[in-house]
Amino acid sequence: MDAVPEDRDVKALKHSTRLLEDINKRLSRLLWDTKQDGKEPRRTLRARVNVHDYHKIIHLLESFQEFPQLLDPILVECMGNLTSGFSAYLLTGRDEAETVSDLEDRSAVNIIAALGQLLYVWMKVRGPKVVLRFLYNDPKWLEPMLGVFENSDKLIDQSDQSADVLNDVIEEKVETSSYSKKTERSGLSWHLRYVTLIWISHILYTPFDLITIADEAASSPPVPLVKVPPMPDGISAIARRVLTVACCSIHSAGKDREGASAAIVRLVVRKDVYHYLLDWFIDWVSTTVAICVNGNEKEDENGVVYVYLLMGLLSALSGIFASGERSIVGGPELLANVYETIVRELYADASGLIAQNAMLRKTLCKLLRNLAYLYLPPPGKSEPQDGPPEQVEEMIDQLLRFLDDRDSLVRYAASKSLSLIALRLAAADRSQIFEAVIEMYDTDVLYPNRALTKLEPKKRYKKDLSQVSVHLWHGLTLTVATFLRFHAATVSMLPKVLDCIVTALVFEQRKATFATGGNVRDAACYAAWSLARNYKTEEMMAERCIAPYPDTMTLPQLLAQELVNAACLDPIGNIRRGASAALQELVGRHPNMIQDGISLVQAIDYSAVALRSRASTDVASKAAVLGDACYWDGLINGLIDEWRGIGLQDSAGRIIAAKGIGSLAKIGILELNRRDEVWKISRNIIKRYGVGPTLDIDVRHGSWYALADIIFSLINELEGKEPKLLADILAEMKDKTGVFGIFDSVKPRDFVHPVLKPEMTCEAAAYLITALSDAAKIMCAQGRPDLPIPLLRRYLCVIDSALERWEENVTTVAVYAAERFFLHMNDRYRAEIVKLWLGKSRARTRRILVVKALGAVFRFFNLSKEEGTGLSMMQQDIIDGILVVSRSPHIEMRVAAMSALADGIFPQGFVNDQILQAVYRSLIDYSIDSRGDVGSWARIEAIRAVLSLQATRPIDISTPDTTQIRIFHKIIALSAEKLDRVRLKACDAVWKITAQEKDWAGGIFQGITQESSFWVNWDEYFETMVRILSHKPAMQAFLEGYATSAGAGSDSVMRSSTRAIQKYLSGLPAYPGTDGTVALSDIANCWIKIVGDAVASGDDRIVVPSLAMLGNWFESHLIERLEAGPFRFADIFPGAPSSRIIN
Amino acid sequence: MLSILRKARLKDKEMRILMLGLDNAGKTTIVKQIMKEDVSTVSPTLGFIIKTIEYEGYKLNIWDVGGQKTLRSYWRNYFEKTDALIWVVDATDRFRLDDCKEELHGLLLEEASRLVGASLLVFANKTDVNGCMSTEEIKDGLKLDEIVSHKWTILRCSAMTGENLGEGLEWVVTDAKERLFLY
Ligand SMILES: Nc1nc2c(ncn2[C@@H]2O[C@H](COP(=O)(O)OP(=O)(O)OP(=O)(O)O)[C@@H](O)[C@H]2O)c(=O)[nH]1
Ligand SMILES: [Mg+2]
Repeated sequence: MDAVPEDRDVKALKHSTRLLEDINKRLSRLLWDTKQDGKEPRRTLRARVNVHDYHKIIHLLESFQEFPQLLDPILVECMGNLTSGFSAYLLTGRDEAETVSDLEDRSAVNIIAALGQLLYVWMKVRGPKVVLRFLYNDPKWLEPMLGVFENSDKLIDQSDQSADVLNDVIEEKVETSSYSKKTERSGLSWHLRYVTLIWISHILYTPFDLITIADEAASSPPVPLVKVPPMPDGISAIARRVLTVACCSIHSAGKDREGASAAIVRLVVRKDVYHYLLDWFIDWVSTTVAICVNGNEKEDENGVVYVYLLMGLLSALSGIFASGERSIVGGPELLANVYETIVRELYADASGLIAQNAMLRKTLCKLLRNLAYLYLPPPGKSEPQDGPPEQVEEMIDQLLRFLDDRDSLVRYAASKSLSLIALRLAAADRSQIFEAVIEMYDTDVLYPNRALTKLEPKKRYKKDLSQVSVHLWHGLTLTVATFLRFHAATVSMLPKVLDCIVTALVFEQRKATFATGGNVRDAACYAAWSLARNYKTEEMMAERCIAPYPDTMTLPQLLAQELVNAACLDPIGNIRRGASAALQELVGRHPNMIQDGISLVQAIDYSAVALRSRASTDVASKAAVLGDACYWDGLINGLIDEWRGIGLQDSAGRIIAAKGIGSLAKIGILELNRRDEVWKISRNIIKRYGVGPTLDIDVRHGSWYALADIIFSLINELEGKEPKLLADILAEMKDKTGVFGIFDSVKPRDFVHPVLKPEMTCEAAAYLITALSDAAKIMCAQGRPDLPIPLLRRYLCVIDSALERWEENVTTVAVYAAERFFLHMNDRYRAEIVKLWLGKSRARTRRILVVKALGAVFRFFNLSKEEGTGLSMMQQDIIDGILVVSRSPHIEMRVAAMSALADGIFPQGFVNDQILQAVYRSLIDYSIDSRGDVGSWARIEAIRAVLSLQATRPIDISTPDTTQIRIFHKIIALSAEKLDRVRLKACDAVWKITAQEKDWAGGIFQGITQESSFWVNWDEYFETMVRILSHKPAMQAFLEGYATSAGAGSDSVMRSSTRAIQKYLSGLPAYPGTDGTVALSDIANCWIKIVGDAVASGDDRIVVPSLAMLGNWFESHLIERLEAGPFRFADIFPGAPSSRIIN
Repeated sequence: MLSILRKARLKDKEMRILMLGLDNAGKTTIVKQIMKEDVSTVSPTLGFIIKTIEYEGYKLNIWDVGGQKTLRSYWRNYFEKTDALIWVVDATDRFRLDDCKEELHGLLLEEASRLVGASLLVFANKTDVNGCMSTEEIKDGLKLDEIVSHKWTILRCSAMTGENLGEGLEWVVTDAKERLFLY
């Protein structure tokens, strides 16, 4: 997987200025109507805003989602506009809602709905905390804000569609099930509710007693759907109003729930409110918890969904603990009450509600953190010696358990809460938690029986991770990373920590169809980065590596080696980048601790590793030679026996890994003097895929590719320069690895049995045979004995099996293998094989690759100079064979015959009329079957063949009545036919064939060059091509093809082609003048000829669209112009007014 | 990981600062002095060194890169973008002032996209030495007035005495407050 393009933040920054200005201007125009009033311009708030403009602004804003701080320069002005708009709206007294003149009007929406959503999007993009700073906090706004809910019917008409219209715009939709009950339906969108509630919570910071702001009850308060316990006596009217409004949203599925929580938090922790509401609220939460957790109901009788209600209440509770003063919310009894009646119940989760909902568990993680803070002394005060209270230990325990949550949201939250709680603990306690985290890595890890001393040391410590939980490892590694960030591991723990990081860096688990563990490895990079950044060099160097790593290795060096592997080899682009960034940090923070560190960082550059193919070949090769080649071993082995190399699940990845092995092996042999190791590795590769029932077909595919690439990379490097050395090395490889005998143990059925992925085996085998026969040839040329005949026969069998396939991936490889292998054989043998193939090609089967191979070996039978010109016997046989195939009933075979001509015969410059006729037949292949217009494959391949011929023997387009000219005219017809693919290929061919002809290049194409890419736009395309009609010899062919586009093409093609030809025809004279140019009557006559011929041969493919095309001409009154002369269409449709028949 | 780091960077008010200049200009000595380390034992930097300086609640990750031309590639290719560039000039080295100018302008041109938005602090170092160049002289020699793509300033300083180093950081941080960490 390749990484996304880099430098996006840089790009964003560059373009931001213009975008920002745009947002700023548009926003102000959207909201305000500016009138020149005397000298001063006067702004009035629009009642409704244009949806299109609104949409544009939202779109611009959202483009900043990833780089929100770029918005800061316009924050002041935009917020000013929004807040003053909002307040201006609230201040305009209104008795009833703006009535919408046209209910269906979707082009403009109510301003308050729009303001709500705009503010919401700002909060979403830039973060609510930042936006809050700009909201008015003057208490006088509290009442008007409450009014949004209390007088909602006056703001937005019940029938107003604004919220729905805007919802179409904002991509984030929320299920509206909880709004389904009529009573709740107020016309306010959840965005507006959210924003207003957040704003209310902001105003509630006011230091004045609420009672001084207002003390009147609401005239028509909204009625919450949820059952709110009776509010305590003594609570002020205004507090009651806030609470009521918030309770309307506290159980909402939408984000307005969060607004409601925020408002409740701010209200409850107020000095003038808490003694009325704090206990009351906690009681409400515990009753609700009891109902939710112990009952089996999902919602109450009013349709309040328990999950959301609980979420709303718990996050409010969590917020109260987070922001209330300790003296108010931190009392021991209160905490004990909460812990017993709420937290313990939630742990128990009798109904399973918590277990079913990730958001709830996430909320719980946060609640635990805020509660734990209160159990612990405030920051700065020292921790009592005897460790944290029991409740905190329990909470930590629970959070540790959440690290294994199946939902990553919860793992992130738990990991964060754990780290933050740990930060408040005494250092010793903190290390204890960290140790617990590290120990949890061992859960479900299987070790081999270490008593078996026979095992080599590396294997003895090999962990079997197949049973561990991916989730847990992810959660743990995230936690390790954050703990390291604040230096929570003691120095003596580092070796163990490093072992965890290093194991996590290569973590992978195979599932049936996919692999997991990418998130673990990503987190491991983060942990490596944290370690490098937050520990001093002395600390890192204080301890040595523990088994299984050699104890001579330093920690930074071990980490560096693993990061090098990850940065070069990981299948996922972002992990390669993460590893590269961590490596840079490691080298930069710990100078001189890593072997060749500086050059290493230079080689494994952040942008170089983005492309997988580059990372595991070029980049890996550069790194492999550094530091006395200490990285070579890890890299090449990583490509072999690990999950990230030739054992990958995707074949493209295996092929890339094989290339990497090839380059590294070459370096090993030629630069690092490690021949023996390479041979050993090669033997391992051969052993790696197993045999019999343990055979891994995918791995074998990758292995064969790898072995071939070792050979190819040696050949590429040495062939020209040092053939002798090359032959020596190859001979050594032959002796030491036995690679030439590799197919001895492969069963024939592996190449054919459908369940054994024979196409994959054939592809890799063909690739390897190409390498082996190339190698054999090179050794032979240096005087070494050739491969024994039985071996060659075996290879041939393999090639033959591959040629039996038809799959895309095998094609090129197998045909190329056949061609290369041919080089290796004497004439007698060659002739024998060709006879065999010819026999196969004639059988009524679909051996398309055999046909292609016949083409590919054609050149080996060229007559030598002495033997004269013309064809050899074998070549004549091949051509005859191909001609037979070109008449095969199978379309694939007909296509293959054209391929053979295009790739094998024509490049040798040979052609005759029989062959040309075969090509012509393919150009008019219109066969169809259940797959559709399969004839188009033949047409396209025939066009390619013609171009191949054109390259060696230009087509003669001036001599009339030849097969060549007929071919040319057919291609012209194809350049106007209805299938896009065919049309473009044909156009390209017409172009190339006529490039040297003045009439065409300068005449018909009028100097438009191929680069002008007029074919991108069908209008332009047809307007250019239609001029071919003026070339009389081609007129009939072209018009015939054109009819299929203009009469039966896809909509856009039909429209463009019809328009183009009508435009062209209307520019023609009705009847020919003296200068011989084409006239409308010529075209009409030509049409009659085409239809006449087609009717005669019963060819509906042409008749029907031709009639349709003519119908269009009638409709546009083109044909009327002919009435000035003798031509009458009526003559061919006797007895009826012509146009009627045609329509 | 990369997105976690990006977020953390904002939250922890981290900045990436590139410290560049010709070799022997005193970059490493400046960093050491700021970190209150022994400045008598510096040797040429053969690569790069990352140090974090905490200053007024900001975390300045300073990349001190060796001045030799071959080490230029470390100026690039990091996933973090550069927030500020500190260019150190040896005020006693009249001879190479022209070189220094070429390098600076070359860098600003070549790396224009990666340095976009970064502000530039020029440290005229070693001003404890008698007979060193004046600020004006350096400003003209480096053609600083021609730089319009970046906000810049020049400060005289001495890595040996520590003079003006704090003021330099102050400038960088103040500038960042106005640009990067507005809210
Ligand atoms: N008198 C004086 N000498 C200084 C001052 N700053 C640095 N030096 C000396 O200049 C020499 C070079 O300093 P470094 O800090 O290694 O220079 P650098 O810019 O890091 O050089 P490279 O790493 O090669 O790019 C050392 O001998 C320092 O002692 C200063 O302010 N005054
Ligand atoms: Mg230095």
